[in-house]
Amino acid sequence: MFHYIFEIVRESGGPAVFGYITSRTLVAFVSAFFMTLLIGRPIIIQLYKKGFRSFERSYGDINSQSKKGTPMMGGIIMFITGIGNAILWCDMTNPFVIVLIISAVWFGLFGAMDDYLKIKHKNPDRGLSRIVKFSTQILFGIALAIFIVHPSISPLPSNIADGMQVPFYKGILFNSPFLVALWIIFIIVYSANSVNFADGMDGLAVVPSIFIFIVIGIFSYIIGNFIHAQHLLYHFIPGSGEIAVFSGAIVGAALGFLWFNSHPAEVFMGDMGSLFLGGTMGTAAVLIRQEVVFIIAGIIFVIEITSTFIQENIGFKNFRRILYRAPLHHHFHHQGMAESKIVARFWIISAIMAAVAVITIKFR
Amino acid sequence: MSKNGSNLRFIFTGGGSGGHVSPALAVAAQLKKELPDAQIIYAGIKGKAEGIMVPKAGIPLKFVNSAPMPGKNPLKLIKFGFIMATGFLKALLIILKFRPHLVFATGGFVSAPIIFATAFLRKITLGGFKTKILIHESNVHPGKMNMMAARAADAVAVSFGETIKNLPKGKGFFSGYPVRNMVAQGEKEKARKELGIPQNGFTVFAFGGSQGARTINRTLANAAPELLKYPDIYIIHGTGKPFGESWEYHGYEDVNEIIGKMDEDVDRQRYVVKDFIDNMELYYAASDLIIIRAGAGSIMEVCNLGKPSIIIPISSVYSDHQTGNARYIERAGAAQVLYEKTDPFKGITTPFLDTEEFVKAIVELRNDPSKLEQMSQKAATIFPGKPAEIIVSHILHLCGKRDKPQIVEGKEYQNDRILGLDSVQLENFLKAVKGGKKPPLEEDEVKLLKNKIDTYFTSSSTVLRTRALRIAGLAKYCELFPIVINCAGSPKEKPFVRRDAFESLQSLVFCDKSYKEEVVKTTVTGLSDPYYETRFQAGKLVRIFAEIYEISSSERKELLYRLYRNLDDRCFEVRVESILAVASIETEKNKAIQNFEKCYFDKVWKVRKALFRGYEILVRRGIITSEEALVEFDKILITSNGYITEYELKKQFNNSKSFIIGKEVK
Repeated sequence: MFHYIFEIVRESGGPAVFGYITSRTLVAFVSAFFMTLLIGRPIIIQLYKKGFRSFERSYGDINSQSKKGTPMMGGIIMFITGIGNAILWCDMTNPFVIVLIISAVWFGLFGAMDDYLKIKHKNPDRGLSRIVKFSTQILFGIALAIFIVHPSISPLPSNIADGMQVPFYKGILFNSPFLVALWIIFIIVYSANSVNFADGMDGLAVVPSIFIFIVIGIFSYIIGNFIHAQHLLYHFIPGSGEIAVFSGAIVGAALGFLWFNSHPAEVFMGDMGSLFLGGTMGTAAVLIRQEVVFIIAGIIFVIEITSTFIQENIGFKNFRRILYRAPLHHHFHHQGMAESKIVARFWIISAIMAAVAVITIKFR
Repeated sequence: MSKNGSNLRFIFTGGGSGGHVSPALAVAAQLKKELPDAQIIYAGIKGKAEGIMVPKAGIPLKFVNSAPMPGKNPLKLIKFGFIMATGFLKALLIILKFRPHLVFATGGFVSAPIIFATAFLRKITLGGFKTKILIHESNVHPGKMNMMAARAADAVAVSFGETIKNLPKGKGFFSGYPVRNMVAQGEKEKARKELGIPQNGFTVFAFGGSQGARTINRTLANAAPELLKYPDIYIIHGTGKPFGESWEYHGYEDVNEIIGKMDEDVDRQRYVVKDFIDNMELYYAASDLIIIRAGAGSIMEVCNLGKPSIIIPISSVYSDHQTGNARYIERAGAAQVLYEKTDPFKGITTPFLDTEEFVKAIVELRNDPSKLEQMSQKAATIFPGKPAEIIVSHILHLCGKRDKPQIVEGKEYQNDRILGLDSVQLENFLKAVKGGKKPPLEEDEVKLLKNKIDTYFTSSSTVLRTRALRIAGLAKYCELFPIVINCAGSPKEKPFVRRDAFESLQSLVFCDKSYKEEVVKTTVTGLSDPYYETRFQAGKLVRIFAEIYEISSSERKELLYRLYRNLDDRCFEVRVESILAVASIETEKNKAIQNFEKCYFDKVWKVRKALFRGYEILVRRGIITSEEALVEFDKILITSNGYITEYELKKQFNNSKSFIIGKEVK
């Protein structure tokens, strides 16, 4: 919204500084953060009053009793301020921004539905069924894949749209619309679920998500800037710089959410928050076609989802446990490590991996 | 629509077995009597009981598609989804064409398409589509499909009073189970004359439903020579007949084969075997004692006739509805229940009935005519009122033709708490009982529980077997002790089975000390099991039996050798339990201290925590002095990365709440 105002100001001879992507990103970040602080507490109180409270859930011997009653579905706070600020500060005519907002609404809505059903049935296992969850994710993945790969509607240059890019390699690995479409669907399903799995301890899912959005912001700024892209040997994608502004808004909102969610948490993000974060970050990574960088930066999510997969599909199928517990953070918790310790260590790992992801810019 | 409601249209549905069709037909007959112009059609599926029974009753039959819920096999699920989708569409067509005022369903999967199609139409038209739904639930514990249907229904008629509390609030009302008009009670002599049965004999009539019941057939055939030793006993045995080609069991042939193999001669004059019985009423009337399955239909028919019965419910891993029905009648004092068993000792997985028990039950009832008389009186009074009339008056009320009928109260009997629970719920329930949150089990419940554990244990599913082991431990099922020991020590069993067997042994060792040698021997193998959780549970077992067994020195040596080796285990839980186990059985202090020293700087603090507890045990047992222990305490690394957070506000909340309600709040 403000983008129009700045445009008008610039055209009538005023200062252009507010129109720059970098400055809008920062402003979006700051305003999202403070707005989250502002509306955070009233929303938490409302959630509690409306009965959106978490219930005890047995993870084997892990004592989750003490967290019973914490307001959940706090993802709605991030959702409101993140999307609100994106609309305020982004160029709303930009196709990337529109796709991102659609993805946020899509995943946020289904996440909210899941939370609502869990509360309604007073049973954490009676949210949306697995099939419904997966089909919404796959459906969005298919739509996004078609949008990216189909030459007539794709906002990307055609050689990039159906090309596979990997870090440490300048060119495009191969061009194949079909394989790339499959890859995109996989990334969407993976990213939507990964945050969901990691969201088991206070602040465990939010901070790695913040790092990922920072990495995505940096990349999209570079790729969306003709000079930087040429200089750093990236394939220029016109208009992708707006994703940085969007990322700024989400990072601000997520950081504001961490204000309340940090250990000991006063609110949980719930499926609404995790699906919303996971879905949008996957979409953003696909839009700038840097999925591998996204996976590297989010290695924590990879570990969490893989450990669950190993435990359930290899271990339980053979009637034995491979890890003590899954996902991995419960494995450490079972060994007696304090929650805050595990969370801090996971943050450290994700910070390092985010740095590695950024370094790949130079090593090509 | 005319004013007197004669143009009302109804769809009746439900089927699969005769037990679902006959109540619907009884209601339909009553409805026709009260509203001769009402239009009724029946929706069922092809090739089932409704295909024969409904046209006989003169009601037009339409076919839909439906199938029972399959397991987790994805291929079968897809097929199921397809069948249900086509069934749903067919049901939609039927409903839209016929536009009924009310749908009456007797449950079962057959009625699902019609119910859900009606509910769907009502939902998408936002109430513009006004067809009402009335369901009749015939069992004590409604199945999953029926619970779902109950949510969509306007009202649910139940056969048993206590079912109402399982249903959505305000929907259930008691009606009883509508049965066909039968021969009245006092016509025994006439019926016997007609069937050629001696007038003064003791006539036993066994009938396992139209398709036959394997357990009843085999038990009765095996028990026949024994029973016929009593000269007045006369047996009529309805074996049932295969229904369609899918049914692999042929009762008549099975029974004749068993009798043919017998050494003794069976008096076929007094043991009459029939594969199909079409004049059921006469046989019911002629008999003194009836042996039946616990399907709702059979027991209601027998009770309505005021006949004493022996009920043999089907034992099933997945549902208890027959057991629930049978127990209801037994508690009312109208029947005796005999349970099918599987035998985990001999590995018999086909349910069977103990012949001796069976003979004893029949003979005891034969010798006690006053008890029989009492049972038959009670049977006649279990189900008051006239079910079909009650249901019809509710139907007319729902169609707006009559005022709300008076509610008849069904009798309630105290329920067995373990019936109607699946294996997970059962385990949680027993944990609650063990923790003192629920009152302890009664004798009858224990009997049922043991039967259930046997069924789980002999099932082919590993998950159910592991659960059976854990439940056996929780319930202290001592008879299973030797088998559990076997499971724990057998390398052929799956890792989870071995683990849970050791867990179960931890409570079973208190049953019987005579198994000491086997337990210790198995534990020794368990301590070097390849699966870590088994080693861990075996270590825990050592700590527990150390308190009740006298361990000989050679056994101690054997155990300690493995336990000390386990102190280097890569799984921390094994190290923890090894420390505690060593502390519970070690007698040489130097050896213990020397080996414990390896763990003083263990990277998992829970191991170091175990060291303190271990030294505590050693001091308590008088192996080391407190001074020596304190010296060792100082050497152990005491910093760790574990701590427990405490929510001070929640704590205050709990404290204050405890104070106010005068009870501990957790």
